[in-house]
This record gives sequence, C-alpha cells and structure tokens, in this order.
Amino acid sequence: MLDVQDLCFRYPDGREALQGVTFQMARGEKVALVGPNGAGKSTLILHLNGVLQARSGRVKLDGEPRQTVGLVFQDPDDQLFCPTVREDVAFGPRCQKLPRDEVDRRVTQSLQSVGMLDYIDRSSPHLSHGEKKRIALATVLAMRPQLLALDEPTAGLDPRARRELINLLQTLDLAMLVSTHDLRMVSELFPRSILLEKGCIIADRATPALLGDDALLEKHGLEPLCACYQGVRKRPTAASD
Amino acid sequence: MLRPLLVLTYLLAVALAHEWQEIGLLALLALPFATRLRPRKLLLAVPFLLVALPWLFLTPGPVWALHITTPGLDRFGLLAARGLLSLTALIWLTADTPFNELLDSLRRLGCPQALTGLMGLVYRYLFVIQDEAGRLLLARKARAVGSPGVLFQAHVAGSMVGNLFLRSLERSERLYAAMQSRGYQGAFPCANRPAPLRAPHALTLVVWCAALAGVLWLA
Amino acid sequence: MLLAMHIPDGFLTVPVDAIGWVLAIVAIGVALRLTRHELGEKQAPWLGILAAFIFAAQSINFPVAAGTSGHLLGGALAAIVAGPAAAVLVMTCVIALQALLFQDGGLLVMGWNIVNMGVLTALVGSAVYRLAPDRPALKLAAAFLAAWLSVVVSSMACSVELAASGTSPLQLALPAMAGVHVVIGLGEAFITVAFLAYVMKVRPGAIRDQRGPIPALLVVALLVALCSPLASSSPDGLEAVAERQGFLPTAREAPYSLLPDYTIPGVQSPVATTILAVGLGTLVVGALGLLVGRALARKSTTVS
Repeated sequence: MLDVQDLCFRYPDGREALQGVTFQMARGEKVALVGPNGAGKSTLILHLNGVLQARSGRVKLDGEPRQTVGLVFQDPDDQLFCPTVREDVAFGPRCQKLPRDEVDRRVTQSLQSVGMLDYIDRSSPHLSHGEKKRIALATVLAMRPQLLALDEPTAGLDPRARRELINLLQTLDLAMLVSTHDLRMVSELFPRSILLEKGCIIADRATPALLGDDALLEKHGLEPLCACYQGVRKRPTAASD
Repeated sequence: MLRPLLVLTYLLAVALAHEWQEIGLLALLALPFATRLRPRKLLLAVPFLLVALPWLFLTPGPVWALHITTPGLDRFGLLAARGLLSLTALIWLTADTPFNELLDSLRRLGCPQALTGLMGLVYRYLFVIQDEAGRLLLARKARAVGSPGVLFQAHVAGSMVGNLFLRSLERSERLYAAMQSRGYQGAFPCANRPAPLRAPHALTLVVWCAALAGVLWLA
Repeated sequence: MLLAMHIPDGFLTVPVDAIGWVLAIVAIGVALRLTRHELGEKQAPWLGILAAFIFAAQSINFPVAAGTSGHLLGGALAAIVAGPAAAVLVMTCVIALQALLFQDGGLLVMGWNIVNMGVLTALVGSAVYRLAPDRPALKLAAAFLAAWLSVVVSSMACSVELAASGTSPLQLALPAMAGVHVVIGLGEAFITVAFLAYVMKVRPGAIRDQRGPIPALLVVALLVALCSPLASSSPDGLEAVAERQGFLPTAREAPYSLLPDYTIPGVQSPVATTILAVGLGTLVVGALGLLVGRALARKSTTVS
C-alpha cells in the first residue's frame, strides 16, 4: 500500500535529513520507527502526506496522500488549532468538502472511537495532555485514513495516559507507522520495526529480532529493553561514530 | 447573538445619554450586573478621568468649592457615570458569554471569515504562548539575584521577547504543517454555521430597543 | 500604564466612535487583501501565532522604578517583523481580544483603539524602520526610534479623539498624554531594540527584508494631515465654542498649575508647543537610538 523509494531530503539550512530511505508497508501493517533524536523520523513522517516534498525519490500510495495518511503530531497543541473540539475534528472533513451531515457523523464516530465523545463541546486549551493526544488522533480518524503516522505518541504522557493510548492504538484496525523512543510499547504493539539513524535505514526487521540485538541498539543510541527492566546501567559503547 | 446586540444597544444608549435622568434609568437597568465590577477594571478608566479632570474647573458657572464649578462637577460626573455603566455592560457581556459565541456573533454582524478565523486561532494559542512566556519569566526570576540596572533589565526583557518570537515562528511552521496535512488550502472552514436568529430572540431584541428608545425619549 | 491607551466606552461621543470604526474597517480591509496576496495559505497560521505572541510578549515586563514597569505595546515590533499590513491585522486581533476577554478598551470605541494602537503604530513603525539603510547598527537605531515614535504618535492621536469628544480640553490632554508617553515610549524602544538585536544574532534570516518608500510617504502624509489642524493657531471646534462663550480664560490658573509647564518662549499654544517638543524629541531619541544601535550591533558579532 505504501511504497517509499530512495527518499532524499535536505533542509533549507543544508542539513541532510533523509539519505535514500526505501521501504514498503502492506495494508494493515503496524510498523515502529525507532532511532535517536535527529535521525530523521519526523521528517520521514512529514513526507508521507506531502507536507514536505522530497528532493529526490518518491512516496507511492494507493489513493490521495492527504486522505490516505493521517498524521498525528508530537505536540497536540500544534494539531488542535480550533476553539472547540468539535470544530477541530470537523476541520479535515470540511476541507474535504464533505456534506454537512456526513461531517457531523464522522465527528461523532471518530470521537467515540477514541472515547472522547463527552468532550465534543469542550475547548482544547482546558484539556489534559493525554486528552489532547486522543482528540488529535480523532481529528485524523475523521478523515478516514488508510495509514496512521504518529510522531512520538507516548512522549510526555503519564503512565496511565500512556497505557490508555496504547490500548486505544491496539483497537484501531489500520496500518500504522509510529516513530517513538518507547521500546516497551514497540515490543507490545508492533510486529515490525525500522531503525533509522542520520537519515538512513540501519535495520528493518521483525521487532523481537531488532530489540533482541543489544549491540545494535546501543550502537545507535537506544537503550536495550532488559536494561530498563533490571535497572542495569551500562555505558553505551559507541553512541555514534 | 442576543446578548452582544443587547449590550451594543445599551452602550449606544449610554453614549447618547446627556441628562442625569437618562443615566439614572440606564443605571437601574445595569443594577443586576453591578456585582461583577472589580476594582482593577475600574482602574482602567482612571487615566481618562484624569485628562477629563480640568472640566471641573474650566466649565463656566457658579463656583461650588475649591475653584470647582457646579456645571463642571455635573459634566465630570456624567462622564464618569457613562464610563462606569459602559464598563458594567461590557463585563456582563464578556464575563458570561463563551468566546465561541462572541465569535459567532461577530460572524453574524458581518465580520469577514478571514478575521474571525484568525481570532479563533489567536484565542486558541493565546494560552499556549502565554504559558511559554510564563515559564521564561519564572526562569528569569529563578536566576535574578540583586538589582541590576534598568538598561540591563530592558535588554533581558527584549531578549526574552526575541526568544519567544523564535519559538512562535517555529510553532507557526508546525501549525501550518498540521493544517496542511488535514487538507487546509487557505480557506478557513473552522466555523460552525451560525444558527439563525430565532423569533423569540428577535422579539426580545425589538422590545428591548423599544424600551431603550422610550427611556431616552421620556428623559 | 500599558493600558493608558485602551480607551473605554463612555469617553467618546457616538459620531467620533463612528469615524473611528470607518477608518479601522478600511484599514483592516486593505490589510486583509494585502496579506492574502503576500502570504497566501500561510496567512492564518502565521498571523494567528504572531498575534498570540504579541499578546504574550506584552506580559513580559521589566521593573523601571518606583513600582512601575516597562511594557511592550508591540505595534512597531509587529510591523518590523511582518510588515505594516500584517501588523494591522495582528494588532486588531490583539485589541479585539483584550476588549472581549479582559475588558481592556471598549466596544464602540474599538475602532479608534485599533486605529491608534494598530494602524498608526504599524505605519509609523514600519515607515521609520524601512527608511533606514540596510546596516545592522542603523536598522537597530531605526527600530529604537520607530518603537518610541509609534507610542508617542499613538498617544497624541488618542488625546485628539478625547478632545474631539469634549472629554478633555486638547490644550491639556495633548501635552499630558504625549508627556507621559514620551517616557513610556522609551521602555518600548529599549525592549524592541533588544528584541531585534537578539533575533538578528540568533536567527539572522528570521526577519524578512522590507524596503520601499510607499508606506513612508503614506505615513508622512498621514502625520501632516493629523497635525495640521492642531498646529494651526485656531483651536478646534469645541474649544472655539468655549472661547467664543468666553469661559476658557476665566479659570485658567487652576488647571494649568496641575501640569508641568510645557510652554516654550515664543510659542503661545500648548498644542503647538507639544508638537514642536515631540519633533525635537524625535531627533534626540534618534541620536540615542544610534548610540544603542551601535553598541548592540558591536555586541552581536555574528551579524554581517
């Protein structure tokens, strides 16, 4: 369904963000995107629905990019820009010029699917971070995407809100590409993981194989899961070269 | 929609009132909301009362006391009363109406969609950026020791504003990306279609305006 | 004292209110069209965030003396970073929200508040800033003067509106408002120049290059139009009436002793004196701005 070929991107200040990224995703597949900060995870995600245009290479999708890919940003304050929750969720469908009753139906459905229907007439500034995250998710679900692309969904959430979000993601029957540092969530939710560093794909494997490779993780600035569990403090041998 | 119109007509009536009887009648109408007045809000009018102060002495007529003339007192008093009543009405409007309803009313009063959409965005990000500014101020307070000179303080404040600006610049880029990724193409569809003005509302409005006109005509 | 310029309702007469709204609506309409042309899709996200930023920036203060603190009005700053048209819209949003959320400034008078604090500050600010040649020290000096002058002009306009409504005699309101804001304007100038120096140093490309004489000419024309009725020896309509009825001279001593004496020998009217003094002040502040600009430009070495 998603076919990314040899994607290259350079920021205006000259930084190489992506250097020949190639991978495919099947319909309904759930893939984690891991790697240190600055590896190009967010940049890659912004390419999926055309917010950023690649210098070379291409992103191929079944269907219109903006309707196929639902982008959930890291900071929900960037995504919830309307005065009320209802207007925010309706923004996407209205931009798609859907009829009014269809817009209303989608607003109700998507809020229901994230369990936030009671919040429909609340205003965004007064919500908690976890609530904002879920409503941000609803704003893209209302556009009926084929693929969800989430940028650091669990960052900044307290354990309870994190657990609720993970459970929520589990219920959604959609293809997902999720950039994250939360390896425990990766091991729980995603069968496949892609490790990205300095704009290149280092590894693209089944999650148990990737997370089991402690040497690889440490080499690329990630902390192996067992270390988190046991409280073992190991110095990374070589964070970068 | 109803309340903004009521308040606008009331403000208009207050601005047109030139007799104490009129002011008195209008004050009676505003009485139920007077409890909302706060001293800080009243302070806002002080500079304007100060510049009006000379009329106490300059208006010709018999001297009341301390060079203050009776008509001068009358004129100044009317001005202060008008300011007070207007403020009461404004507080009633703004404190009890959710901002979204105010925006809806603006739309119906013919305010262009580009402007109401913009105001909705500003309202949304006001608190977000104010929070950032608050954190900057807190960080300054946490490090401020002693009492540096005014120029240095101004320099620090300016740098903080600069810092806030650069962060806002980045936020506007992220916001634009977020809007684009949901299909934004320049027009702002964010508005609820304003509900039509219902007959009871329209009737209340007519009665109210008639009452106001009556008050002004009688007085 | 930041709020000394948000006129509340009740202090202006209805015809004066109406004139303000007409001017404001024309300015907003032109600004909407210009920014849509210039910014396209980015109009809403960029201006919305900028307005929220100005709103928040006004809360960043610095202690001056005796419990007072320096604040930002922000019109000139907005004009420097985004151009006059964008600044008009940004300040319109700020002023409207201040009235609708915090009751700072009235509704009927909002037209004038927008003209004073949004349109005039934006035009004066960007005109002065654009006139300066493209050298860091001179741009900083221009920003200093632009911020100061925008506040002073804005306060003078405010006093004219109060006088036209009969709320205050012009001969007192103008010197009083201008006198207070000559000092307040310095706070604005210092924050604005420090802001610009910071941004030039940290992110030189963040402020778009703006040049062009058109707004400058517009502002000069506007200022001349504004000042000519004041500077002329005949007082405005209201005071003409007062004088004809012969009551202005009767109680002159008491009110005039309330205020510092602004009269310069050889100039009779306090109005003309104030305008003259502001003109002289512009030169002085401009010179001060050159000193500040040069010092700050030397400090920020990364500026080429």
